[in-house]
Amino acid sequence: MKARGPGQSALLLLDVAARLAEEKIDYAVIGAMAASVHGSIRATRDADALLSITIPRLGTLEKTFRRMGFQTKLSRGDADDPIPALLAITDRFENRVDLLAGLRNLDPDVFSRSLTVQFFKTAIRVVSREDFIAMKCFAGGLQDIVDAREAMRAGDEPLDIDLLRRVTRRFGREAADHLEQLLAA
Amino acid sequence: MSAPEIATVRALRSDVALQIARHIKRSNQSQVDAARQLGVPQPTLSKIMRNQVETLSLELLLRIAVRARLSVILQTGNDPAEAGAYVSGVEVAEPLRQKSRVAEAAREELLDSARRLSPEQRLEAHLRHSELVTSLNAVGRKGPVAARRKGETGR
Repeated sequence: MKARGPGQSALLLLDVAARLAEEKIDYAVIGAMAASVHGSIRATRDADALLSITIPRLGTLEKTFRRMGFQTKLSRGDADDPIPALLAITDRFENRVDLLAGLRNLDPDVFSRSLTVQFFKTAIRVVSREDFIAMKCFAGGLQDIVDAREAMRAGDEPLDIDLLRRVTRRFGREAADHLEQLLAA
Repeated sequence: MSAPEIATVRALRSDVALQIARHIKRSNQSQVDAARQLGVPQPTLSKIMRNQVETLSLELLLRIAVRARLSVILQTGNDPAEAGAYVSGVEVAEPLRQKSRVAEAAREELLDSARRLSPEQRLEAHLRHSELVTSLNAVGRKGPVAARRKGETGR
């Protein structure tokens, strides 16, 4: 176990990511950790990752993490919930990793586009900047829009605008509107 | 998008931008004043004035045209007799959103400092930040209890 105290959800994610790699499950880190990679460094109580996984297999994965000594909670989304299922993994310090079993209208290539980033000598997969901004436009909260805007401004490489528009439009009109406002700023 | 779709959107984008640019030139306003009045950033308006609008959406350009009180007429259909035409009404300009330049500059400085870090360093900074905030939260939760135990007021 890499986490040795509270506030280390990012380290708990390293343990989780290692297990996902062993299980050959594609994943991409999203949320505040991805925001930090893409330029906006901020604290969070939990780490989040998106999985390429079926809900039955997520149930099996829950048992695996429970056997490893973590507390787990598997929640299913309602029919209209954009997240079909979420597995929360918590350690004894209350560090927490949320694993999302996909996201409605997500581009399936999101996993192949993800980036490899070294973190404490471990390679983790982090969602690409375009996909990160698209998801933030979809989420649409105040902090989400701030994260998206800062990811747009902070990147070293130019954004692939066509890709960004394409993946954002998959999430619907409101997400596309948020993006256009950000692009125009 | 197919080639005709791309060509149509590109042509409409360019035309709407041209009309906005003409309107601003005729108004003899500076770009800064016009941008403020239309509720768009000045660099966006600059792109429109130069007709470099490939990164701007047609929807945004239409919104700006409406804010500038330009009439927008869109006729769709093969037979002119059957094609309906949309004619925009005169809309009241959207309320202006004043941004603080000082706050923006401070924000930009923070982003610049993050830009100078590698992704790995940013993740380490994220971890330290999260540890610190969690510690502060813990102190906040424990503080009054600890103070009461010691018979202090906590102030």
